[in-house]
Amino acid sequence: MLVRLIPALIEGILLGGLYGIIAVGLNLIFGVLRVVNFAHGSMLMLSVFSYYFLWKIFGFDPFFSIIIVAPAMFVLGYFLQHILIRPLFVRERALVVEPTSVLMLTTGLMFFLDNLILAIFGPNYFSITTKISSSYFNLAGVAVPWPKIIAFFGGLFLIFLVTWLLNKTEIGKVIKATAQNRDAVAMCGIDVYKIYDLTFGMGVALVSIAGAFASQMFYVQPSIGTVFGVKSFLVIVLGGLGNILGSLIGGLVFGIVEALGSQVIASSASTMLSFLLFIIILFFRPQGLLMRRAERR
Amino acid sequence: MLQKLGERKTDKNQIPFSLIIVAFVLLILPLLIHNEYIIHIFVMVFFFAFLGSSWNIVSGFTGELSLGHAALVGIGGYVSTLLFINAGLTPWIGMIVGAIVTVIAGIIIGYPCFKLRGPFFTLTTIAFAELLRIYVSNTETGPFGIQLKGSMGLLVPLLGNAPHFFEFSSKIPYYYIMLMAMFVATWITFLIRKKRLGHYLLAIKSDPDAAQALGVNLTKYRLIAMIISSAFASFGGVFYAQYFRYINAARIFGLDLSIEIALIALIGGQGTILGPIFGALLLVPVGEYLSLKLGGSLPGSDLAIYGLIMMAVVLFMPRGINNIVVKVFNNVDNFLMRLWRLKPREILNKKGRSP
Repeated sequence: MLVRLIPALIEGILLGGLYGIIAVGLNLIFGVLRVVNFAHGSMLMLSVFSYYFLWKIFGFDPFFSIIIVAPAMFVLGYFLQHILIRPLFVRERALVVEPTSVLMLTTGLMFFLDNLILAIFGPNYFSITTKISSSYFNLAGVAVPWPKIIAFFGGLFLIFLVTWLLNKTEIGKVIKATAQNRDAVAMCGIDVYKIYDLTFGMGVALVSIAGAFASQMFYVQPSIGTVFGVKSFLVIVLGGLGNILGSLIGGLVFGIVEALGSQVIASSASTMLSFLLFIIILFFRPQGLLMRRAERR
Repeated sequence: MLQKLGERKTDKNQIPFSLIIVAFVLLILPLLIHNEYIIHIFVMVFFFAFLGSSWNIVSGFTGELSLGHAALVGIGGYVSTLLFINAGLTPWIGMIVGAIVTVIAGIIIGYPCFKLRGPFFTLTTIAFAELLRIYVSNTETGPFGIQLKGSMGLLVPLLGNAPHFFEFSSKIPYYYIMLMAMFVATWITFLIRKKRLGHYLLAIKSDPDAAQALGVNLTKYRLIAMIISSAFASFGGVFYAQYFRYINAARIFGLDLSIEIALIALIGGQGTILGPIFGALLLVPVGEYLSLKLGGSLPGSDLAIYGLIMMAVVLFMPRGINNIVVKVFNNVDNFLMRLWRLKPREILNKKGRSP
């Protein structure tokens, strides 16, 4: 039994790193805008498809394509927020409108994007094969695919980069401040909506980088977004809202629980376990593992 | 809008006369139209209007968006069908058992969920529904040896025309059953709105803290709403099973269904009485038309357009279509009254008699 556990553990840790990066993007958006972005998975899916086509048409390695895709996705995210979501915020200030509207908007966006890609490309599976994606690394007798290792360490680096950005740069501190109290920030003369646009763009750019990793680890198909979309929410709740490091920890815990769980019970059942964990955490410790008791904004 | 002197503003929750005409038409529709497909569309409209009303009671009135309503629908459907298959129990009684189980489940789900606000509430409802879906989809034999049949779903025994077992060979009895169910649900929603429960719920919706400060027990009233909503939802599940004679976890516990129900109620008008009916009348035929025209040629394009509609409604008509539709009906009312040389509705009191 133990022999089976070790590769599962390694798998879980590496997968957890990927969950972590995806969650960081979502955490940023959720933490700052308080928007439940159901379309987050669709953003991942769009970036994965972009990497695939850049590889297919130009032969670019996905890791190289990051410098193309990430800025493009940043722009996409910026404009999505600016055009679609900002009007809801503006409206919310003026009237008493249910916050359900943003949820429904992002859900509609998710439906639209997922099915648009499905309609255009069909439910076919594609996959990217590069020199790196098919090579393995021998870790304690386990053959670990290189992309997963790169994804893990790349993700770690990315997360620490984001944490540094948020804590040490001017714009990062403004973003953190907006997450804590948007009215206070507005009173300091900062255009809160612009910060929203920026943060959304950043979040989408982050998930697009995760897409570079995911495109080499999984099949490229329209539903890749749905799976990760829902799970990333579980991860950020687990880690604690607004805590970037928490997303990483949450992702790791999640990945390990899933990987180990699928050894003991069926893999689908381990997803069930994740949901159960989610509910339990929300019930007993809604601020997640790393946050102190949250003050309501 | 300018109001003429002496005019009474019509209460937007008052049912316009022209709407009653529509209700009457719906009652006699099967006698006029014999196209099975159109009858089926209406059955689906009533079905979703019914479920939308049930969702409205818990989410529309409390303001917390539940995207796990399918869990309640599915439990009702599965319990009744399992009893039917394994114990030969007629769904007419099975639905009562189903309702009880669903209500208990609703309380179990509701209690932790209601401690949460906003997106956390929504995510938790999704988690519950997904949990159930994954469990049932992947379990062949459940506890106590109950055959859940996993992702294959349950096949309702085909008995032909068996009214005692909630099975009919024609669509028309289903039409009337669902129509009546929809009326009942709407009427109960109206009662809730009028009575104290409705006011408490709306108070909780506007400002839970203020409501609590006034002595309104948040959990108690939310749970009451949940109980009523669950009972209705479970009937929806039973009906689905008996109408399609097949039920499977992916559909009946699915996020798609939850979103559809929520969308219909939201587009109709969250927290309104007739909203779900209007929402269903708009969305169900549109969905059917889209999947008819596009579902075959470009799979998924119909859902893509559905998504666009969702976004458009949220951006341009966030309050739903209820107010606009009721206004239209009121205008039709006034027109008819003037046509028949009766006094304009504004001067009549509620019972229709002049003061």
